[in-house]
Amino acid sequence: MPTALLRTLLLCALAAPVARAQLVPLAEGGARALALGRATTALEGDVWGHHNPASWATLPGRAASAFASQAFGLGELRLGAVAVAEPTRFGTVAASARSYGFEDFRETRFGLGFARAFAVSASRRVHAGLRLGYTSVSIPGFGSAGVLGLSLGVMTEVLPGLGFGFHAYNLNRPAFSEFDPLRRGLEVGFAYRPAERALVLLGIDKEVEFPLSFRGGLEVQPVDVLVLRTGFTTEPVRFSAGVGVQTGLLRADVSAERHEWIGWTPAFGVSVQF
Amino acid sequence: MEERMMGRAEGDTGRAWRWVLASSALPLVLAAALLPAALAQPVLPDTTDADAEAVLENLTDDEISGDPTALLEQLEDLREDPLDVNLAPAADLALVPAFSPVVAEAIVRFREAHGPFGSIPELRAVEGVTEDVFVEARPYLKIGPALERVAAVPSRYPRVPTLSEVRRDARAEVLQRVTRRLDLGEGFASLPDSLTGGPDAPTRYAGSPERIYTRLRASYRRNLSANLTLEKDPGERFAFGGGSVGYDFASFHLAALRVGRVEALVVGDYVAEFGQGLALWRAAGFGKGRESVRPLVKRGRGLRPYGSTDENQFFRGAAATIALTPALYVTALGSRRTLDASFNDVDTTDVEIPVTDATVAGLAADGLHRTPSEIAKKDALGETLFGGGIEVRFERATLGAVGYSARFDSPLAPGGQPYQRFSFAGDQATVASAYASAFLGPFQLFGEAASSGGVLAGIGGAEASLNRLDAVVLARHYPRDFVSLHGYAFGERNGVTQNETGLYLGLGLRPAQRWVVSGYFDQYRFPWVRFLVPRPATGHEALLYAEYQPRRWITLYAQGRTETREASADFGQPTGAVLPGLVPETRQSLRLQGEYEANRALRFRTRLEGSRYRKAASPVQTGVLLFQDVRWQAARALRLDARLTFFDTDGFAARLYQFESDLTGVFANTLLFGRGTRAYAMVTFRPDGRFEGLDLRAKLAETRFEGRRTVGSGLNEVAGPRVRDLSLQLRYRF
Repeated sequence: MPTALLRTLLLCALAAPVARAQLVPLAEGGARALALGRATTALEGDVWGHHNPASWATLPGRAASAFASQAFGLGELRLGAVAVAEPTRFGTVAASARSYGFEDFRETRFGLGFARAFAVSASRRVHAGLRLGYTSVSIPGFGSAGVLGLSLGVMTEVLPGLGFGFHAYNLNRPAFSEFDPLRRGLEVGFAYRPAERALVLLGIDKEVEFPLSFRGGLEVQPVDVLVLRTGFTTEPVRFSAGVGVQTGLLRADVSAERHEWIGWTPAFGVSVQF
Repeated sequence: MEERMMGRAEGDTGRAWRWVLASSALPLVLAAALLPAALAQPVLPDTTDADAEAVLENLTDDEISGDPTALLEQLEDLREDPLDVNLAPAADLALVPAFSPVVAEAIVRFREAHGPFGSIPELRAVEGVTEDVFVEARPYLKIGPALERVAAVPSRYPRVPTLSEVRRDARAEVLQRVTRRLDLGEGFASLPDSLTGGPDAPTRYAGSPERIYTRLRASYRRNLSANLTLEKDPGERFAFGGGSVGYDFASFHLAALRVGRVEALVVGDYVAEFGQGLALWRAAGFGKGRESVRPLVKRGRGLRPYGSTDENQFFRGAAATIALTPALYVTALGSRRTLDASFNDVDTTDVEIPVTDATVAGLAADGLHRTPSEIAKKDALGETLFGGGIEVRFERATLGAVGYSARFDSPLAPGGQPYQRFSFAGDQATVASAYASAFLGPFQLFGEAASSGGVLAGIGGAEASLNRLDAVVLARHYPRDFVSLHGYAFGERNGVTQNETGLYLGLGLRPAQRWVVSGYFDQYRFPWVRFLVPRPATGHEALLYAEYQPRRWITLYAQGRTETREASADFGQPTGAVLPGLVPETRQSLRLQGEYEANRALRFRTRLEGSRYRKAASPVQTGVLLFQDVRWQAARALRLDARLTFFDTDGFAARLYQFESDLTGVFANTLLFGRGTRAYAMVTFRPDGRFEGLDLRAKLAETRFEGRRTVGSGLNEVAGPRVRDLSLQLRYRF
């Protein structure tokens, strides 16, 4: 297909009402989350905190990550992002930036977050996190617009080895116009560690404009340096798999997600914890 | 004009509102961030904070009928003024949600046999009071200081308190509540000057959109009470003068309960509960629900003072129950009151047929007087009622009879539609009933038979209350021409004690520690046509509930429910005619809920529920609901409740319900359908020390629908996709 035609089609499909750009959720939140079927609402130690900002409070130390994905292999749907999290005396502060799209349609988001842990008993902790995201869209010839979204998450270990979390995102209903709201919903998730080197994730996500989506993920660590992951989602049906390699402070993650109809989305990321 | 300007102002501040709403969940994070380790301290003073919301959810059907606020008040009263385990009669103990009548009876017999309980945990020695039952019942129980006195002076009748005791222990309560919808319907809009008062003027509500509720109450323990309840519904006028006290509805009573030989004496407004509710029962009762055994075995408490806001379902006058001997009680009641009613048109133009007196087309039960036509119905029909009863209480059995005769000022003449064929007609109704219950060890037999105009109706059953099993079997038969104006017996249409026959089986099991399994099966038949159901119809319903508590602070449950019944459908004939008939419709739901108490101050609750509706060949409708709920006791005196719900159903038939935390005495069972979100936040402030007795609450709720331009219909149609409600309440006890 000629590139010009493809771009025009994409522009119609994605940019005309901006909301359409979000009909297919972006491949974001880190290669690990994508490989785990995005079921990471109860996942601890995630520098992205995309499916739960409370995760920042569970980071053992300073962390940073960079990540790129290309939805369905289309260059026009390329996404690049960076995130950092810094634990302080009062809690963990996090910041992120991402860019998505191409020259005729560009969506940029800057995020700022805060999370901290609360001791609710001698042995139990509840983590809570908050994220402010500024999303701006720019379409040459039409101009640009920006909105501010507020998201809130809580995460806790209800039993040894069993984590629970929830995440209400874009609580304040950010919208570019009446017809172009940002995705808004509630995620609930569980993380179960049946063995030291295995992790099972389950999640549900209800977005106000979309059917309820079930998610699941499995992570195993056969050897210290290697992590294998797989996951799925429903609504839309996607299957994903990924590999993580870690040495010392550094970790590299690769993932591929297959959408039932549209095809493969590759993603790659590097993270460092120190 | 003022209201229209407000509408504009709201539009302008719409964005600001989002932030207010979003921030309803914020205190959790922000305040916590500012108060280092605030949650680490054990701040909740009350270890057994019974949750009225959860209790009611256990007890009631989603689509509740009658006036549930009375039940809610009863539970809240019980919580705030717990029963003395050494003094409370079995009828009162049976009100505790965890106690069945068999258990209540066993407690009374135990203390008669072994003397008063020394402490509340000693209750566990009573047969049927298992650990779970005890934990559930604990918030409603206390042990009083009067213990020694009671033990020292055994009396055949309850003691008459002295004046100084009454003066010392009397309590008073003032409650003021104002609730208001912030997004108003067309009925509240002002009219342009050109239309005001004109013949073509569209209908508008007579009064302001606030609901105003005031209650003044003074009481001495559970024995003496004086109460004044005043209420104005949204849209009703609030105006003094012309015989009006400002409020649209007022209810008053003076009552004495269990004082010497006086079992009950009420002047003013009251209700009567006898037997199983065939003849007399307040217009509220637990029906089918997750608690599948205990609520179904009714135990009449006789005469009870009334102070709720259902404007039609109570008696007004005087009534008394006197103990002739400790085992023999006689009751007399008299009532004269007005009801809301609409009248059939009287045709005065026809000279052939003489002008007859006006007949009543129907009674209006909603108590709303907002529009000219509603105001015209107000107090339009008088009802005079006299009744009486006798009850004999043996050690293990109760026998009784009760009856009344009611006369209306004008005869009722319902329309000529088939479904109205057996509706009450005429101006005179007489109902008499006999009831009995007997205990045989852990079993109880109970029943009631009633006659109205020679038509017999009955309900009867048996209950077993064993350590690991509760079970009840209940049969009901209410003929189509049985008329019970003031009854409220169990049924598929809970409270409509007419045109229904059914069999019910309920089980409650505790198969292992930390496990509860319960369920019921109910089969019913309506032998005559009903409104919108053109044939006699049948149906059945089943529920299965399983609860698991892996730890004391984690509760998980699953609840499935299915109901199939016959609903109306039109059948086209080859001749072109359309015949009304029946097809089965099935409604099913599955709910999963988890609750986690991080500590005494912080609780999370998550629910996922799906629903499914199918009617014959029509497309299946489905629905889903997901909510996350947080309760945080931020400080000793301050509690925050917040919930965010997402719902998505194909239509009304797949609707879903959720119980909510609300102001004391407000029953919040929210119906959700379509697609959207609901969020609420509530603050409860109950200081101790100098301001002990003060209880302040505020709740802000918003329901927002996606893809809709209006919400509601008729005069309540709101322009825009959302409705918000604000409630404020102040209560002071001293």
